[in-house]
Amino acid sequence: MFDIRGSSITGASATYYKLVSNNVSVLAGVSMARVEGGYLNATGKIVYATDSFIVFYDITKGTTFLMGQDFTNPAVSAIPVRITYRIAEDDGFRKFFIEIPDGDAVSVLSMAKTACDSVKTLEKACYLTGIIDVWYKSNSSIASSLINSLAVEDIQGIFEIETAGNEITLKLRAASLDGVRLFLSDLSRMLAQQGIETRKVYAVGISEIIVERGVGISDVISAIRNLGLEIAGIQERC
Amino acid sequence: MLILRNLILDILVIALLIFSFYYFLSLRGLHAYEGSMADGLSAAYIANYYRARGSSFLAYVHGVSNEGMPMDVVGRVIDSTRSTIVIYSGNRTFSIYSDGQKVKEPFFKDINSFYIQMRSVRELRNVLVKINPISGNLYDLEAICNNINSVVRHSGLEAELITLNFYLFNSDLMNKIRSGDVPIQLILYKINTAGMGRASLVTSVLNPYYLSIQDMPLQRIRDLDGILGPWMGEDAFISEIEVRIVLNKIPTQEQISYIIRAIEAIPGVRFAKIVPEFW
Repeated sequence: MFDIRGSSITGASATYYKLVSNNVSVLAGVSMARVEGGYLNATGKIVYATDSFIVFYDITKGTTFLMGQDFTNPAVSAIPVRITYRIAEDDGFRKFFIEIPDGDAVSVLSMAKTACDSVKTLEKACYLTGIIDVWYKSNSSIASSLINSLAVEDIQGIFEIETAGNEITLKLRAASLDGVRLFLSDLSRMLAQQGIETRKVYAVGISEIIVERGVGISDVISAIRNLGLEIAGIQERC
Repeated sequence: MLILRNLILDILVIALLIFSFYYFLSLRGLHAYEGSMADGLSAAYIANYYRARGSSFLAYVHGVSNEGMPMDVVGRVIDSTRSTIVIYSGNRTFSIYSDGQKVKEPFFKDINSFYIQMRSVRELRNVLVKINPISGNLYDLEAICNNINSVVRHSGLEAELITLNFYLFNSDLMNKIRSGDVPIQLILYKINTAGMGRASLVTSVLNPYYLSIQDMPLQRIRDLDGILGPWMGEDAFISEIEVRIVLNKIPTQEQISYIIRAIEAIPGVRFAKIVPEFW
């Protein structure tokens, strides 16, 4: 068991990728301070890690946290205090990276949801990476801070929001699929209430990460291919 | 005996001096810089310093892609901004920087780096071609670039890579952007995330002026046309065009003079020159 003392995100991320590239499975134990208050211990899988962020999937509760050390980033939901890694030859978890063609966001997200549902196991979590662009008809611009506050409540994962002209752009990296869907429905309700007509909602460069245990690799591949989607990569140890 | 000992010492000192001098020269001759770092900011700082002094860079990057897959990329550093290096590998460009670095770019990054290794090379095999402004479309620009590529091939060499920098102005597109009839943010992200170089809109607070496209691989010009085409009027004004070619081998003096003479004879070409690094 590794103990990443000092809870350095950079060290934890680099160690994680080093371990998985050496073909071992990593189960992370995390003690973290939640941004809204309180302390939490959780055991789970690392979905995505950079030198500043770790997207963490809590297996027992089925929830997702974005861990980071930057309090000012609204997307960060927890600050790690201690991170430990338990390594195993194979703990049964796999990561699948699925490419979803560009198009209207509603159909792209429903395709992502169908792909997620096609993996029949209770131990799974689905995430999205890519760009969603809401293009609306109006002369009024909408403050990005307002949209951010809406997104913080719904999305677990890395996201950034930019507003410019008549567009709201949501940049996602390993953001919870259900959270993104919830956010888009909240956003369209808000725009409709304010009398702002949406021209189109695009989804560009979307890829889906499915973390799962309990279904064979070949079964997942055939389920995804039956939907007409391409698997960009499989991480057999994660 | 004393004379003999002094003589041996003298010989040893001279041999040591010659060896040190040779070692220093060989190091200087091969690489002005060789080292590793973690983030794009340090890499950009080093690349900017040495590229401005005529060194090119080869780089190896270990990091994680936006999609979450661990990635290793080996390629040529084709550009560096204040905090990012741009690497060309496999017909696409990768913008590289880390989430944690203090200074970031408005462009979408392709790889979040954990480890970057860079080595400078100093070879005279980069061809810089400047093209006169074009009133037409991206296919006209592609045609000129294809002619340039034919000249390179005819000289007995191959282009390891060809990238383009240019400004694109189309009044229809700009008017549509001004009136909110084009999802320009989306268009810029599409270009920036598809490995087609870096796109930005040069603008004032109220008026968009023109699109700036940097480090676009020539093979991706039709992809760019596919993205911009539906929103543009017929003819665009394409200016500040720079074609950057890295040859697969160091050219001989005859090949250099042929390449320059033949490229400069192509209609629309302002000048061509061989440079140690594009800067």
